[in-house]
Amino acid sequence: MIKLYSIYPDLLNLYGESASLTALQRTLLQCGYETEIVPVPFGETPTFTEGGLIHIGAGTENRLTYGAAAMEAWSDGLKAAMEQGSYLLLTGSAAELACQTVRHTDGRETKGLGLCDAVAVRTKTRQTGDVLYRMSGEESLLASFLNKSCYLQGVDTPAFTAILGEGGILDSAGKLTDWEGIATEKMLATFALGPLFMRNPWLKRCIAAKLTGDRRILSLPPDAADFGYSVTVDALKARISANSR
Amino acid sequence: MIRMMMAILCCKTAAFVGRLIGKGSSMPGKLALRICPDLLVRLKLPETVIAVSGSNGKTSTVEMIVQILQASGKQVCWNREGSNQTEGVTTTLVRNADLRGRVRGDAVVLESDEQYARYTFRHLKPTHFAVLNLLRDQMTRNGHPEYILSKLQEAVDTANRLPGEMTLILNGDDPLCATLAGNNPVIWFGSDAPRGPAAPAAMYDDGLFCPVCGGHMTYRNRTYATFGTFECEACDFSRPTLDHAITFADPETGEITVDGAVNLHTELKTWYNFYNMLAAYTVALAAGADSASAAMAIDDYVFRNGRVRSWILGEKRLVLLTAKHENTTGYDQALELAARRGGDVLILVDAISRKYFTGETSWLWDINFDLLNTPNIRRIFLAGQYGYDLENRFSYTGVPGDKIYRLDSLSQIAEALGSENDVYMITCFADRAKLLANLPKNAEERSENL
Repeated sequence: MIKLYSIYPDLLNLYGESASLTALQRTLLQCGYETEIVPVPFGETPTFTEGGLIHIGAGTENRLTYGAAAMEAWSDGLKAAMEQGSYLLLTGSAAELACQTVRHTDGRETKGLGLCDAVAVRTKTRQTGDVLYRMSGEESLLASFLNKSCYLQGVDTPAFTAILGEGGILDSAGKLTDWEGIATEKMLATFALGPLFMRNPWLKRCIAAKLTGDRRILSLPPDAADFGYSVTVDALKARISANSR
Repeated sequence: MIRMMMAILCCKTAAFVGRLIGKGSSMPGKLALRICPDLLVRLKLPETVIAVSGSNGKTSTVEMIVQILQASGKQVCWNREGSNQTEGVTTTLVRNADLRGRVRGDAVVLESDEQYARYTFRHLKPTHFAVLNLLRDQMTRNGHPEYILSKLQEAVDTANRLPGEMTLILNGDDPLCATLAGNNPVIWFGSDAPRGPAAPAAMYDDGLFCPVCGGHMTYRNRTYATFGTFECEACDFSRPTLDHAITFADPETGEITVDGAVNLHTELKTWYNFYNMLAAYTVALAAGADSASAAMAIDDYVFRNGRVRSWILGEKRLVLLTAKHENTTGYDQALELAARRGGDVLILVDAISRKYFTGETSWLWDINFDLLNTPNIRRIFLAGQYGYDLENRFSYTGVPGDKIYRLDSLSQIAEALGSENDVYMITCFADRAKLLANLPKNAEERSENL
């Protein structure tokens, strides 16, 4: 049984992100894998089993802070689960949780989950917009949008490069680069939204193949989600052409 | 003075030309503000200046407020086109002003964009500022409701720096709105009609946690979205005592009673509209209208803003419900209405916003399309550029697949509307014209209640 943990879906549920797990579950079921979506409501402590995927989705800035404070109590359990093969997916504003520290606009610092050495830098202004990102080694582009008030700094392993729209990583001088997100063997943290897996079926299949070790998943026939993805990518590519004129 | 007069003249000319070509509710104001940046401060406004903001219902509520005030014999200046940012507000005021900057009329009623009110209020202080609600809306532009709350708080603080008094008229049932009350006098409206504590069927619940401390919230009565008699379990934040309340409401019949004494009826039988009617009633009374005239003006009110329209086609009706895609609460209400009344449903998503380009469709997953999973709904047609995204979305509902038809092109809409069933057509402002252009030629529009 592959367990897909949805952390605090009652607290952190902006932009329909929990649908990413529903999409992933459908793909796994289609390929014959038993799966279960396990919601962990705010205030409860998750008990992770080996393997599977743990998802934390976008929330308001206040709710992320409440959520992070509560997660501190079980963050060691999360790290242990990742060591034992669980994959962590952080989407939207939840990407900041990957960091050691979150720097707030009023000067306060609060803790992230400490899964990498990066720092999350919150901003007073909001970054919004459609994006197209390239992932190293992948032919398909990530079609998404941003809606956040945060950048990451000190990221060693960025996930994407922006070819339309903003990146999300500051360099050491505080200048915005084209890099976005954090990708390791055990984690993907990205400010990109969608829901990520609904909007980008190719990425969903990549993660499903990773969870199962079954590369046949990468060759599943396209469905309505794939056709919708093509329409969106074409429209966003046309924006690149329009912007460059 | 000369600069102001030049600005007024240019704005009036531009507005006149704009009206001839069917455009230009903001450009004239923008031009005027370029010529005279402090124009709004210099204008002489009537004694009553009402601004209405919030996520849902601004245009409809403003229309009803104007209706009440006009029925009371007042001459009203208002931004009927709905252009609600600073430039649009400027255009509205200047079109109704003389060259010396005196705005004609007894009252000004302005729909005020929730993100931009903080800019408009640098120069103009309303005597009454109504905030209808704070809900998920245009998340691409607006972020989320807590972010918009911070912008509205800024608007209130900005206005308070100007001389004069401003009364806030707030939806006391909305936990976010309820945090806006500071030192301004406040008139609270909401619902005391008994409904039970159950949350409405929706894909998310933003009413679970206290906006002040993050504690769990409970409700004795819950009407729709986050609205109801809320109380935080961890701090003393709770629903304030209402000044005006819906004391009875029946979404089946459209009957509502306000303050135990004022009986109204509407064919737009949604809680969304019930709250809008109550808000309009509350604002108008605060502005000096009397209860009896207010009630008469909005009883069975038929909106002229074109958001709800109907046609007769043979023996059946076509009903257009214009709902912003990105406003999931309003969209859910449109789906509920269609599901209650029954027939076919046509959903058109070809552009997402009329104001800016975006390919963002996360709102599809916030809308509760399972509301259409009822024997009342015979068929569902999906149309537009985002037809595949809609098809994918519906594949995750309980609606049987054989009820769903994706149209390959807009030209198929007329055929889809040709069955014997009534059809509820749901689309956004950006796509409305495309839908109307593809209606069957023999459909006859009726100016009537639903």
